[in-house]
Amino acid sequence: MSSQQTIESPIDERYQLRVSWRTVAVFAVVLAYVDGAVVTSLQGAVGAIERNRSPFDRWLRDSTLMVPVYVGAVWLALMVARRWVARSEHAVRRVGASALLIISICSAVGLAEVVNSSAYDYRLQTRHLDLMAELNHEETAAEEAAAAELAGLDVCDGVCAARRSTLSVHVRAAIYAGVVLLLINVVVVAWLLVLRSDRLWVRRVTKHPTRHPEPKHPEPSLS
Amino acid sequence: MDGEEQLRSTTSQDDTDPDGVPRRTVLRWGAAGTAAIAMGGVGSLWVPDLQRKGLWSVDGVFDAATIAWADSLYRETFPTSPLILHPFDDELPIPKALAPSSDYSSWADPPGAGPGQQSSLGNERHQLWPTDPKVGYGSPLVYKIDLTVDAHSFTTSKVLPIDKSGDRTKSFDENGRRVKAGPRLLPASTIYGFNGTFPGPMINAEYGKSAIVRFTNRLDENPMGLDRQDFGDPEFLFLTHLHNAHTAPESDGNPHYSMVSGPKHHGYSPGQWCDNLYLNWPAGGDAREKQTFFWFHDHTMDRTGANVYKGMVGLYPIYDPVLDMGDETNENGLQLPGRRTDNPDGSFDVKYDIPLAFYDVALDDGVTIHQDMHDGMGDYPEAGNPRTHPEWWGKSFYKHFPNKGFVGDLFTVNGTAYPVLEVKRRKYRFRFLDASIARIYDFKLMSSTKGPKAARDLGHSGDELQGQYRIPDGEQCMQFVQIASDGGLLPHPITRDSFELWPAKRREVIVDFTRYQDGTPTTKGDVIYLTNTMEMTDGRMWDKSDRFGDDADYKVPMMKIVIGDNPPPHEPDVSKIPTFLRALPPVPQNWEDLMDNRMIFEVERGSAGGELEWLVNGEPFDPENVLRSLKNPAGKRPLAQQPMGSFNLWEIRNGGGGWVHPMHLHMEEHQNIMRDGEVVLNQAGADHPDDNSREDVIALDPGEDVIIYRGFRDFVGPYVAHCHNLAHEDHAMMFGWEIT
Repeated sequence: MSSQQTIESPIDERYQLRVSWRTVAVFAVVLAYVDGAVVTSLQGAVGAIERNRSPFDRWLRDSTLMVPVYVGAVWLALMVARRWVARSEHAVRRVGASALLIISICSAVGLAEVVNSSAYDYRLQTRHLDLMAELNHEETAAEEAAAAELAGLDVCDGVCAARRSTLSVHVRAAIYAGVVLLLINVVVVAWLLVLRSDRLWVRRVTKHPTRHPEPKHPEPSLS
Repeated sequence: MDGEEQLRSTTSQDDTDPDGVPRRTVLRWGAAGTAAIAMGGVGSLWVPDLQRKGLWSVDGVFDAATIAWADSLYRETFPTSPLILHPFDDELPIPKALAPSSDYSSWADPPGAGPGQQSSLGNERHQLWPTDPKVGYGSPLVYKIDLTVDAHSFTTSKVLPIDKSGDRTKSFDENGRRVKAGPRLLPASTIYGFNGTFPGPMINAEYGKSAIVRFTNRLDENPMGLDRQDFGDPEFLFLTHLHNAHTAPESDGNPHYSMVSGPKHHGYSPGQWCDNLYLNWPAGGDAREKQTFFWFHDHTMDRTGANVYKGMVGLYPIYDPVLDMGDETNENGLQLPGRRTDNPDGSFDVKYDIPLAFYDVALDDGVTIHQDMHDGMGDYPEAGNPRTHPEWWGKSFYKHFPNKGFVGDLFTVNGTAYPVLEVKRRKYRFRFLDASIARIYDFKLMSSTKGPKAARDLGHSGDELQGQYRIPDGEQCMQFVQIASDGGLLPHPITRDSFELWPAKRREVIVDFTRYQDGTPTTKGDVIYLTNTMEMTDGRMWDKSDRFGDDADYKVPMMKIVIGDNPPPHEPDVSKIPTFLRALPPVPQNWEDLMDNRMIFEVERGSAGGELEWLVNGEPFDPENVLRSLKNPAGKRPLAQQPMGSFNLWEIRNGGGGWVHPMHLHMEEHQNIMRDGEVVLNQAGADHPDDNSREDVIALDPGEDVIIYRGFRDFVGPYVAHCHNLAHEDHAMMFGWEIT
């Protein structure tokens, strides 16, 4: 590498930065599958049994489907980071901010996946509760609500109580999942950054740049 | 070349040392190395545990994570029972045989074979009567058993209230007022019992003499004004099942029948009665199908666990006048240990032949919150749950729907905590029954020089306090000779150092108290402990088990056996341990021809109502319909229906790791053909040495699957199969099947 490095103006440098798609792909795939494992295992604990079978296959399928979403999430994080901190001369600040953005946005994606899965499970489970009530010759939720309304009472027992209980578990599960996703993603992103030690962006360098005499500055590291 | 792009990765001059390794390379290798070390650590710590729990597979790893999630999400606590201060002081209660009724012909509705005579509802009759030519017996003996509310004491010893750390703590009186920490008496627990006792009556029955038992519901009566607490059927229903007699559906006591026939309800209501006819006749009239030990217990739909835990347990040894008549002096029989006395009232007792019903209980500490999903269903509104119940301190505590399964921390035998049994220096026959909701035991006979020590005094706390006592220096000193399992006598006795006992399973053993396993004779005053070596801190599965070579320190003495005198001269021990007991009914040589069309049932875990729930083939129990099998190799999904007189292969799969399931099938015994794809017919493995026997409870390890062969003879109508972890049964792990 030539020590007589051409330094473009800072403005020129910003517009020269591009997202490294290899980096994006690595982060997106790893995070999609790691977050997917959290979602799949959580679904087994609180979700409808119809979806509980063959968790490994389900993880593989669902995580693969989520890869494009995570690609978008990581790309977005890097684009925002590029706008905010790419000009900074401190590598730690650039890398740290970028990592935080990746972690936050991808954890939000993971949490959205959890919420979506839980909503679907809740629908299946409440149908199941009504079915069990019918089998046991008990009132379904709709019948209970109608009876309570007729009596002018605000009562929630039987199937109504079971539904509330189910919902409460899902809400609790989502909160726990949010925390777990965040913690896991911190570890995974940090590990990937260290392991890869690549740049988050790449810089375009022109062959015949405008030359200016310059003092010898150490080349900033953008990784 | 303006505008041409080059993508460069740069390194700072500071990063490069011409003679050294770039910092980034060091970081990369460091990260990779850390990951490898972490994986290795995880592997060495977790893989053996996952293997033991049947979770070492691609799906199993996810199941393990699911279990961890469930543990954190479904929060529940259980009380710490007060410490029994003087264990092994109370004598083991040995039930006397119940006498048949002599005045039944004067009853307003005497038992009979006619239409409408099977119950007070007047809508059912007995399918077969003992005097029918097919059976060829005489008129049945008639017994009367009332379901009543009563009180039961688990111990006469003073107890010390302790907390989870094992430290002494406060307690409460019956009004909920605080009592200072210190020894005190244990209040009696309220039970729903057969004839008001726990365990209930013992009926000594015989093949060749049928029995009708009139069960009458008097649970609405509460003459002593006992606090019913917050478990047990809220409508005071009952439904009694004789596990596992060959019985017609109207007398079987199963909810598939009771919801579509007879009471057309979960069970029989207060004031109602039913006559359960126990023909005491082997399936198909085949003597090889004779069994040896039944027990009767409640089976009310959705409340079986609560009602059984509340006391509805009774014993039913059954003897065979040809081979096993309870008389060791009769040289026409096997001369198994036992001295029979025929009583004037029509009953008979057998000395040296002792039933042992094991049952674990949790006693309320007054500070643990009572809360489960049934509170929201209006089961016991007057209890005002969720809340604590200091007024119930020391009484039995039950959580209807625990996510980790229910186990108690106080172990009892025949309803008494830590009893003592004095034995003569001779052979005894013990009939072991696991009457627990979920706990599995692993029994050994041990001696100890230092005797039992309280677990808290050994530094244990929390779940490690379960069982209350340990014998840290316990060493095995005697062996069992197993002679029977669920389905009756084995073909050959099996000498065993230990044996597991799963919920509802029965195993019968002979123990020779004249000498130790090394051949040295016993002497009067020697002490042996019947010890449980399986640690199981929740109802999911064992934490540690000898079968997996685990920690040998878990030794909980459950019963103290004291060697007494030699048998009296007029009653010497003339019993034998025969080399051959009873042949098994044959399995056809071409059983493999049935494989393609076998029925397949998979038990699974789900989630609903804010709690875990239990399903078979993805379906909850439907009391009005039979289940459909999973697709078999022939590509079919048959309904769980069998023509009368047929035989078939049924496959039962444990659909997930981390839980064990004792699966029970009503009405006939089965033989195990394959286990996890390996043929075990006539070649029992070391883990299940009595696989070559007949049984009615399949002990399903995590992820295991078993193929059984059984018959469907003599009766038509609805039956059930279910997990005998009663919390699972009550929350839908049951399915209906029928004989057509």
